Amino acid sequence: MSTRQSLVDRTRELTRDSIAPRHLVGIVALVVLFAAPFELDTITQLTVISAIYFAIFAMSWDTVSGYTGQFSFGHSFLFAVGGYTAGLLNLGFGVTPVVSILVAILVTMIAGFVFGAPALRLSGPYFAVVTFLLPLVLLQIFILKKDIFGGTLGLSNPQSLVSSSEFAQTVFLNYYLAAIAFVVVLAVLLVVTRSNAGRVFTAIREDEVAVAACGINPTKFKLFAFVLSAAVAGTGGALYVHSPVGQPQPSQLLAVAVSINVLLASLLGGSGTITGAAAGGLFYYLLNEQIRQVGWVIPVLGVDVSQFSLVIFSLLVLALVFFLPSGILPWVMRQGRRALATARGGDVAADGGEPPLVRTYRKYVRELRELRGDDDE
Amino acid sequence: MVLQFLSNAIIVSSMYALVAIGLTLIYSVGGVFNLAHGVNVALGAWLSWYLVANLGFNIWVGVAVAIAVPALFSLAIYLGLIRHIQDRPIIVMTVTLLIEIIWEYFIRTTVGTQARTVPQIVPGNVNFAGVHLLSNLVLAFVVSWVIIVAVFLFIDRTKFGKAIVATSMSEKGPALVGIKRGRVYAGTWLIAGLLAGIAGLFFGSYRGADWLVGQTALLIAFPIVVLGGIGSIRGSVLAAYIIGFIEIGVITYYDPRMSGVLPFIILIGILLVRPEGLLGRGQEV
Amino acid sequence: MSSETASYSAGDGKLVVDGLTKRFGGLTAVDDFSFAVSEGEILAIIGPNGAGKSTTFNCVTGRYRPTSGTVWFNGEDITGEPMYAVVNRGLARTFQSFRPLQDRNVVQNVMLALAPNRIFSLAGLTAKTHDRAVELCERVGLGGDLETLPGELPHAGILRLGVARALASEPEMLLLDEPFAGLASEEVDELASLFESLRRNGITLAVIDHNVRGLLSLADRVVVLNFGSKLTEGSPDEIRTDPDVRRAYLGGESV
Repeated sequence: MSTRQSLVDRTRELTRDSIAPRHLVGIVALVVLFAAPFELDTITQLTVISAIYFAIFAMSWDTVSGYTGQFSFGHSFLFAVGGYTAGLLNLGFGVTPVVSILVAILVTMIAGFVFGAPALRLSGPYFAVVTFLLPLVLLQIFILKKDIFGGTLGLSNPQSLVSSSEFAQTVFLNYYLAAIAFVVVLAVLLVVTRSNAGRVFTAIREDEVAVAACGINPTKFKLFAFVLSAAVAGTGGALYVHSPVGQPQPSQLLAVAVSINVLLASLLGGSGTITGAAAGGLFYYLLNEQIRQVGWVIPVLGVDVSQFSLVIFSLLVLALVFFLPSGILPWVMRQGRRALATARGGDVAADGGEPPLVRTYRKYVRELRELRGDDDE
Repeated sequence: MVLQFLSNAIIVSSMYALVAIGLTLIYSVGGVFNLAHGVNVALGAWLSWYLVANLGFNIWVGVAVAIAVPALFSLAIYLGLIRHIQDRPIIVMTVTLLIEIIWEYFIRTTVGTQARTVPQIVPGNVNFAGVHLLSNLVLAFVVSWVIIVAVFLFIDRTKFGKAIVATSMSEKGPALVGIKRGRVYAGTWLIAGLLAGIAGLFFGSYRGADWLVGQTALLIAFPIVVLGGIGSIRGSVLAAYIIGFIEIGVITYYDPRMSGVLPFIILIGILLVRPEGLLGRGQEV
Repeated sequence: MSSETASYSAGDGKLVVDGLTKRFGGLTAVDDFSFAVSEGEILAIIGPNGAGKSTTFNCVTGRYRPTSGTVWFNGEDITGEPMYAVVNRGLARTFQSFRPLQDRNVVQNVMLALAPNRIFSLAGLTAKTHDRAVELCERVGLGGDLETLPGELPHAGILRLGVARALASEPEMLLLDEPFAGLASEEVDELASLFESLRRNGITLAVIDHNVRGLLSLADRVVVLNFGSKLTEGSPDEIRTDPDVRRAYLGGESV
């Protein structure tokens, strides 16, 4: 069968899949995203722009950590390389944003390759260690070379990529810039992860030795995922600093909190799906902002809830790890599918049945019984 | 001056070894990184401060609680969480990291960002040959080595110790000779927490206890364990000395600000060249 | 007790292992082990548990780096090459503790093995790959289980899946690691006849197992490993009656 024929088959397959409800929901969500600025005021638009960039960061993390299972605990390293490169080129050398952004993406990809190649040879936990340390080291360098990198305060505002004389219009334009970037990144990542490479990625996550036994070089694919992730990170970081919402600052691009938030958002949304990270990223950021604005105070401790949001999300993820390991979005999709199936009067799919919560509860009861029977674990 | 440097380095290195040893045990037996280890160290430091400096209890009460609570907390984490996810080391890392984050927020909101002085067990100074040392730190040195030797003997001579070695070396082997893996893991987490509590007592009095002390301890213990290699207590002691000497050396002779970064750079460098660490058992893939 | 003192060289067979030694820290798992597998034969490597059989396979196929020794395949030195490279040379293996990918069904598992080692490729998704995967599944007797998840397969099915995956790389030689573990005797016979048919199709086989019964009727030649070094080698009948071999098995089943 020729390649052309198989491409036709594949397209037919994809279009057949497209009729699935979850795709419809996604398309509706994107339409809402693009239509929103007409209904939102400028301040809210700014918030959504930030949320979009955060979601791009989350997708970057998911590409490597969710798919190949190589958890990166310091992805902010890549965001910072992207953002700072663009910012430095623009502020220090007067390079126009378009060029600085493109160069930043390239530089981030190179950084991803240079650090990824040796790091990915390490097994999972070791890899996580190294990725955790990289942003810390970079921050120390930024502090030591304060005159170049601006230390803990970072650099001031680079030029905007798109702007106009009126602020509201600038924001409006940047909203669409961010939204388009979001869609482009989403599309590229979906294509890659639904291709041959994606199957290999998930196989690596499951069992790297098995992949090697199939004659496939796991390191090559892991590195591909990492460099792709770096490209997305560089895109996000560079666009971010050239927008009204971001600057090359450690608190925005390099802090441990950034790495952890991105990780939490992807896990909550459902890691290893790209769409989970996209949706998770948006909701996580927006929810965080909501909490900050509402300003509840926790009764006993007398503390503002917003300070606790990271803790709340951490607890959520902890709960998730046990009850909904695949994330919220897949769970929602399963519920939706079951609801549709019962509405249509058909049979419930094999993986339906009891909701995860009940399954987990039964599992713990079983284990407790085993414990009392003095069995090993 | 050199003598002072050497004394400082030796003492601090042995204290670092003490901080790391609990983490090494869990890592070598269970193959997982317990990123909540810093919490146990912090508990040791903070409980001692709280009971002795704040509530006015006797120092030995503080010591007892500072050792017991982290031990039980560590055991609780294992029984409640880790036991169910032990087959997924990355999830264990994530979960324990989140516990560490939650702890940081907890301590920051309850006691604020200011550092507190953890009371010394033995106050005063020691002077000899122009070298000036805190007595508590000398005690730390002695206690560290007593513990290190004790752990060695425990693993070598006692039944439980041998069970620990067996479990760390093979998955199915221990079951074949009737060792209950669950008990070995639980015991290891308990001991690790206990040792971390002791470490916290000294580490806290040396560095002061602030809301980040857990993270600081972790960022010292972690490179030590990784550098020392899996399954090797000897390795982590050696690594502790390397890192301790480098850090004290850099602080004393070069630039105090660099101290935070250098161990990491060394660690990254060594990992990339020798992924099994210094004395690891080198199990590929 | 006979021990090999002569050493092998590249041309002595399809797969030649000379002086293989593997140490883990203080433990020597394999000690100066040498053997050769001729084209088209079925070689059995037997020995009690812990003798070093799996470690040998792991060293040959690139999962471990040998501490010392040389491995030749088709006359070329492949010592220390990574596993995927060894597989691409035509030397495939199955695993004792076989891990099928739990996140996909049987035919998808085999399709992964057919995926090319290229980053930009759609080949893994085409109908051609799917058909080939189905073919392989039928070859090993899993034709009726294509959509089954590995978690739902019986033990024998999982072993067959391992063989299918190994066959996907179109190997010239197959290393089978404890393929009979945990099988009932009729399942052993079925699997043995599958291997026979593979050999008839031109694939050289080396099989390790500590279940000797099934292996001796299948093999052309037997090598016995004990404590990491070669105890003896010979035809199945010779091995069956060798007192040293019986002793090495220490009260294990009589051969």
